[in-house]
Amino acid sequence: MSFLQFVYRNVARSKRTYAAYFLSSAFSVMIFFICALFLFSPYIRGQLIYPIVMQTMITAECIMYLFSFFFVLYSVGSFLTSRKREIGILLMHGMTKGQLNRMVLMENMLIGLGAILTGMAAGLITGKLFLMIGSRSFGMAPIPFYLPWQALALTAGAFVLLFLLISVCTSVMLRNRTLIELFQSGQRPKTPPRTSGIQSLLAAVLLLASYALAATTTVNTIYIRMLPVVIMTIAGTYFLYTQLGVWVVRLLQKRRLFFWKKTNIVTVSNLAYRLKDNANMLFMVTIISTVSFCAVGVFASINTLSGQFREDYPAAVSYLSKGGNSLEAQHVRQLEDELRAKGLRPAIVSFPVKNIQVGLPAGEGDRALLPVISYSSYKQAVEAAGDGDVEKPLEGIDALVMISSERDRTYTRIREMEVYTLAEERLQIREIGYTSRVPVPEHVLREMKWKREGDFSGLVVSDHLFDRLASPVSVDRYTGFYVDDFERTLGLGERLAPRGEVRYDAGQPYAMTVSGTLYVTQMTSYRAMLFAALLVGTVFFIAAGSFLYFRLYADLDYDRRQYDTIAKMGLTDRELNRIVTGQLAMLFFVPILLAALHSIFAFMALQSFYYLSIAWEMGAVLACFVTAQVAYFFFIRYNYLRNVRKTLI
Amino acid sequence: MTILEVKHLSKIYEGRVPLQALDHIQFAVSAGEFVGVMGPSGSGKTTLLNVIATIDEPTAGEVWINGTNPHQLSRKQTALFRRRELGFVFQHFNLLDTLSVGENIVLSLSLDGVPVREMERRLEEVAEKLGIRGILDKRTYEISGGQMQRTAIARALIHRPSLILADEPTGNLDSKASKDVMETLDQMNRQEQATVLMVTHDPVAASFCHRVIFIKDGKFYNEIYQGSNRQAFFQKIIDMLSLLGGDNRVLSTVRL
Repeated sequence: MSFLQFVYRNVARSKRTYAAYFLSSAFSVMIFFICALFLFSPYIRGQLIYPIVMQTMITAECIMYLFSFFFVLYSVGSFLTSRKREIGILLMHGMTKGQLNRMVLMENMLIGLGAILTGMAAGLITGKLFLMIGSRSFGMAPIPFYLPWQALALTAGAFVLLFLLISVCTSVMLRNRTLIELFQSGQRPKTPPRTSGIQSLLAAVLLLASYALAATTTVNTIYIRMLPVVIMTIAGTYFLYTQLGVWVVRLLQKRRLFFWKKTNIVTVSNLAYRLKDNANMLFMVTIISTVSFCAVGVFASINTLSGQFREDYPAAVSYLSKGGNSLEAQHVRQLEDELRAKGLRPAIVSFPVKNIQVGLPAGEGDRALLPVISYSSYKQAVEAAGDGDVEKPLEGIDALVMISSERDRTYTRIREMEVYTLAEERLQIREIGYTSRVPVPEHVLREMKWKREGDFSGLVVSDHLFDRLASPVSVDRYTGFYVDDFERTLGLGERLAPRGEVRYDAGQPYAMTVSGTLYVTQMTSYRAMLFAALLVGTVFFIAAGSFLYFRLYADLDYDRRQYDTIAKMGLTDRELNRIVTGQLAMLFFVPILLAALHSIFAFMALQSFYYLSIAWEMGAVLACFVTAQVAYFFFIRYNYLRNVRKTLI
Repeated sequence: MTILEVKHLSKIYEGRVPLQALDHIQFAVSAGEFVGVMGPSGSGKTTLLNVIATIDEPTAGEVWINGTNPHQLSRKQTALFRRRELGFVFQHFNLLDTLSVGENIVLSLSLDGVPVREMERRLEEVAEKLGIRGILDKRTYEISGGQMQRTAIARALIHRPSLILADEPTGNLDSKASKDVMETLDQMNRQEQATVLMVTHDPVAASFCHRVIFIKDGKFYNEIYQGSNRQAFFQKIIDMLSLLGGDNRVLSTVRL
């Protein structure tokens, strides 16, 4: 038996221990490889959406790589801990430190290389499938399968490096252990964790506080609250398992009426016995699951924005000519011609926009330029969009603030009304409310930049007041082209606005939006992000499952002996089932349900960003994950029971 | 009244080389009796115990415990039978280290769904008798070997089984603890009329029995009764062992 053979047998004969770790690593490699396929595919390069896809995929690759590093590090660490006794025997028989390190290194590399090869092979097999799903979700023509050498090299190189780095780290972990320590590791009884009432209370307080903060978040507090809430939740979860969990189990153990009832006595005491090991593992599984739920949830919710796209861009093509633009007539004619060439019959609305100089209320800077349109212009725009009712005509100095997109509605709750004074005319303009619809798309008008809350884009005033604004700084002219089928304007006016949009502050003599082009790019980026989030979320989720698996199988021998004893005293199959199911259910569902709860509160905070409800999307995401977990639970339960029964009488 | 009746019990382990572990063993144990089974290594003692304990199936023959043949019961019924009718004392104690001493003792009652009041009452009672009241809340790693075995005996007694099966109960204990444990078993046998069948290597432990059955190569070899004097009985056991010639260690003590 050569050293290599010895190492190989060490690994091959404990397949069961390494199975989940191996599969999870291989899965990470596979997803990493598939992202690389997208990244290096020559068929995506040069397309309109390439920059979006590239950015998303590179981010996904980085996150996965970083996560894989910690996942592998933790897994290898726990394998070594569970093998202390074996290592002790090896050292006693004269294995040198160097050999031990070499053994661990070679074992790691063996599993690592196996995982890399398996993952890439699986990636090659499923690559076409993912490319198809990807191209569909990006809304592109199917991407032909092409195997760029860069994808192969990147995946193999990155993961070989990862496993090598980890192996170096583990040799540090192995240091400074005396033989006797290694030998007694299995026998030393596990001391039950200490609990303190204060910390248990702290867990409850932290979690409740962060839930309350998350639930009451509004759009302007979300950035301030985000970090503290995340930290509080993580700390709270940790204390929940290590303190409150232990405390609850202790309490259960004291209640004999519950604890001594049938199989509870075995289930609960097992729980208490491994609480310390379990607490750490459950904590990690909870956090990882929460992250993956939230990631997928966030990107699934972004898609609700597409529902309000039609409202955000009432005119299929919007064109704003700034004062002094000599090419206005030419551009407008050109746009109209292009629309007609596509067979669209645009309804054209055109009105002036006055940029007036106003003094701002105290403490908000000095003066600013404010775009103003008249009520009849507003009415024209709304009617052209076919939205029916318009607000009643304005009177006196009243003005409505124009929302520049439906997103702004979330800010209307917190924004305060202003009164502006015009320096020259001694006029005042008073905001009394918000327009019910978007008359002009965002970024086409000058924005009201001095306000932190949202980017509203100017005021609507009565026709009378509009006429009295005699000395505006400049007068722009807005032209909107309304069509029934805005998606067909894709690629229109490419020479004027290559990406479908020229913003007001872009330094051009005009500003414009082409909604068809914007729609496609926006949808593509949202879907690309969702696609990547799904891939990454799955990697996280499977890794969490692998932690659970490892926790179970590390203790399998001990559990078997225990069940054997109880079985001799008389334990029916159903009772065994009940004990095992109870324990597994607790390991599998407590973290997942807590993660779901965390996510629900995270989504409540997220909701403050959106005007439309995201509850349905979030429900679907959570339901999918929970269903997957249930399936995984039954699969593991079946295997675990079979394994336990194998040695039972 | 006969509690245990073993009729023509045979056990053959199939395999490339079939092994006849038990060969037409036949004996009976009456209520309140304390019977030892001895024999050299490989004589089939443990197989015999396992078959009686329903942990193993006999190839031929029958076992009747308190009027039931447990080998004819369904899987579930067998488990319940073990739980209610049998008590076990093992060489390695087999206490669950996840449970405290008291919880270990009530385990079988718990599984059986006995009301907690009743469990507590019986626990008090049995702990009192075995002198382990002070350690009921301790964990298994905090007590000595002798205490562990007495805990195991308490666990075997608490549900008042018809038969207590002990497998080398002193095998893992020093002589002082062994004596303690055997005296406890003896006392339980006398006071509680508990019927005990004990497999052992240890002649000292065996000398506490009313009767010792010797088996060799799976066959019934001989049996001797205690009579009135334990010392004399001990000598008889030693003589019998030397005749059996199984264990060198045992032989050497004869010449002391």
